[in-house]
Amino acid sequence: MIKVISYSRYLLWPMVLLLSALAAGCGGGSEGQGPILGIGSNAGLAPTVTAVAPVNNATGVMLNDTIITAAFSEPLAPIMASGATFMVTCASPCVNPTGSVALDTTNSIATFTLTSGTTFAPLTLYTATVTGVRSLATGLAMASPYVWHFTTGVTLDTTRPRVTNTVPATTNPGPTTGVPTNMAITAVLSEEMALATINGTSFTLTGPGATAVAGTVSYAVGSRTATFTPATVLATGTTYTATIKGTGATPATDLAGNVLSGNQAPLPAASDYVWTFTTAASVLSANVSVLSTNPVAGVTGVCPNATINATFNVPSGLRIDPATVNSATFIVTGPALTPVTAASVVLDAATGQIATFTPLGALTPGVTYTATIIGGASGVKDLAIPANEIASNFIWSFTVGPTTGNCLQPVVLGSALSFGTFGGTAGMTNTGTQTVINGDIGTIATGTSSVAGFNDTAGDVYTETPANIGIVNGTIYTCTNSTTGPTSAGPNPVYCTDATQARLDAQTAYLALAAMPAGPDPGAGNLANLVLAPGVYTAASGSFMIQGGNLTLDAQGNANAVWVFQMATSLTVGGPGAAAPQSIILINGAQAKNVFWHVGSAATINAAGGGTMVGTIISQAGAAFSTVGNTTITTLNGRVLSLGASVTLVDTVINVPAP
Amino acid sequence: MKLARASVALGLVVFTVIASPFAMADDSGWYGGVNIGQSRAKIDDARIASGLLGGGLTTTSITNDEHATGYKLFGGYQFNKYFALEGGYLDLGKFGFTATTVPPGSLNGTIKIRGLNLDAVGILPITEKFSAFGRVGLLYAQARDSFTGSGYVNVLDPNPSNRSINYKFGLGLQYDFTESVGMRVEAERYRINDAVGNKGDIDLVSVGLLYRFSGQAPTP
Repeated sequence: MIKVISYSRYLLWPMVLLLSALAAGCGGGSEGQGPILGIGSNAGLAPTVTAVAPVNNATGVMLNDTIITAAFSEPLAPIMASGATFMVTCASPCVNPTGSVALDTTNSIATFTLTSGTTFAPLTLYTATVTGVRSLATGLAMASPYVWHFTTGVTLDTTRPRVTNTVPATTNPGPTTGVPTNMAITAVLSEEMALATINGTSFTLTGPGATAVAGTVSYAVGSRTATFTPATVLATGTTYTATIKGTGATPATDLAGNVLSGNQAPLPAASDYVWTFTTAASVLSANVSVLSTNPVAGVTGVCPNATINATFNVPSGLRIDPATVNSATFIVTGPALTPVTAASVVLDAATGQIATFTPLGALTPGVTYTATIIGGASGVKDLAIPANEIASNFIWSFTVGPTTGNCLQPVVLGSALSFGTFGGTAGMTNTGTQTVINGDIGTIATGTSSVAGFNDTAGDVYTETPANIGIVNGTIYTCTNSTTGPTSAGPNPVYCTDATQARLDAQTAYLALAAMPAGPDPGAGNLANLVLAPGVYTAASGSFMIQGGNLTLDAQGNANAVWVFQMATSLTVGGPGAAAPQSIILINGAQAKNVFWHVGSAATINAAGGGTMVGTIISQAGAAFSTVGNTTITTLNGRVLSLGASVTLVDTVINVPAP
Repeated sequence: MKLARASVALGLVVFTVIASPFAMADDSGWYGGVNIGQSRAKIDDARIASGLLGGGLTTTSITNDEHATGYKLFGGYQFNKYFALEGGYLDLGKFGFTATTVPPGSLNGTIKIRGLNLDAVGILPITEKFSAFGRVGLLYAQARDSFTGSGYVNVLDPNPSNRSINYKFGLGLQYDFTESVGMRVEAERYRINDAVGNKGDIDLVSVGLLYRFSGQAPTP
């Protein structure tokens, strides 16, 4: 024992050193100590809604648009199996619609499809609710139920969808030259499409010749953009053909099942949309960046109903990939870290370079909000292959209210939303063979001669001659009978009721426009050569004209910017002189759907033909586009709704904006 | 409840060993005591950031709380001058972190560890009153985590927990004031399962008092 104790004395100091080393580890150093408390896959982003269709608070939703859609920020676990729900309800006496819930092939877009053969009830407020959806990857559930509302109109959707914009551009005759080899192919549609019909069968790329190009097809809800992404870079100096099918067994259709109106056959026929292009060099490989924002950084007095916008600088010259603009890459928080729920996060149709975050509810005055555009590999990217990214997150803040500017919202059009032309109590007349109305037309006139020179998709023809054929890519709603077709035997009472309701809704919108506080008249009655910011403009003399130049509407990066032009009497666009059509130019995110003309008497648009008018014209006493004898097409990207006198069109193309 | 059952089981093991013939020796006897000190963990920042990134979140900063107060209640039987078997209850305290992220949000995580241990203690007498000792043993530990997210950070399971058996070891020095009362200074390392798929270490540096029920002379 003595020996042991003796040895112990020699071992004491090594023991003390060991003890000291461990103590040091506990007190400051951590060498050799295994770390604890990672999180595994226990935390992360939960799925969020990126866009819905119909959009939140939509009015005039057509009764047979029976696919309710919600796009999410990431793939979801199977909805029913994960205990999630997707319901559409309405208040009694309306009966809740029945339908089926499904996810698309990407698991990122959920649809509620009404039971076959059923439609929505007219003039009814519906509520769509998504609860409990879970991330396929992490299992994380959406933080709270997502609820949005829409109100139906009275009409059925009979308007064929169209391609309004392609990249590469469509040229006639093609091919479009100088197209980069390393880019995705996109087509913007005039309205939301049925997801199941936009796929590798309906959207194809071939070249050279009939050789199919391998790639993937996607569709962005809200941005209404179909994208074909080639699997590899295209060959240089080769001609390719892109096709979106409007024919065959599996054509592209809208939410009501209307087949695509392409460019291979005139309306009312459905046809393929085909465009060709020849490749050249690759696009520039350089980072995307945020060029500007609306609201700008640090600003105060932002409207509670504002949308948040970011305009991108894209050195490649391409559009932003709509699939990368969503509620996971464009986020808003406030106060502090509280997420702001998005009604939608979408890319603008015109340039594809402006992203807009629309809050589901109003922002709170006095609160400072922070917006973030996510950069890097999981952030916003362009359509180059490989995609160009934003180098790092872009963050800015702004404070809501007290408001210092206008907080205009688009006027509610209700069931008049789908009408390209409304002939009030008097009717409407078309002259020429180039007139196309991409939307419905209507009147409550009862005289058999009150509608002349039109035919619609249902087969109704109203007093057409070989020289006067106007194609209505939709339905003609009247209180009279057609010359030939389903309504020729006598007025369709449903159509008459629908037309009456549309006129009432147009009148309500007219009164709402009139009730807005008056604004300035910067051109002393002549809006030509002006660049106008969003707002209300009121004709001091009672009338507005656009004579001697174009009018430019600058949204300043706000894709939801609204313009209202009030005039007690007339609107005259065009001149001076008979051969001087004038146009309205939309820049920096301005959209035709957000421009309104309150016309106290009549509107005369480019009497000599030509030019592009923009916005919804609601007049008290009629409107005239071009004049008989002119053959240059006059275009209206909007609507012309007369409450009283008739509307006359001469070789006029009217494109009703998407909601 | 499981902890209570484990406690009974450990007690039985201790009793069984003590009751064995080998327990009969000089310097043998029962003892018990309490230690208290500082426990320290190393929070796995890299794994937190990686986990958040996997969930779509970029971590901009992490602040850690890696110190806590730990204590243990122990009892044992010393078989002879060189060996004892010791069991007890321990609470290693609470550790945590706050991670901030982009998209904007934060994740708070905490872990509390308590458990039961059974150690073989090797004793090295240095003087009559002063000895060094080393221990190695088993730890039946319960880890209770708590996670809360804010902003864009969502949590799948806010309160994961885990019970597992792992090893532990340590070194210490002991000084006996009287035949019955002694003092310990020791450092121990506990291997624990953190209930979110990771195993790591918690160190405890503590001082304690020991009381011998037999009233025999101090061990060393």
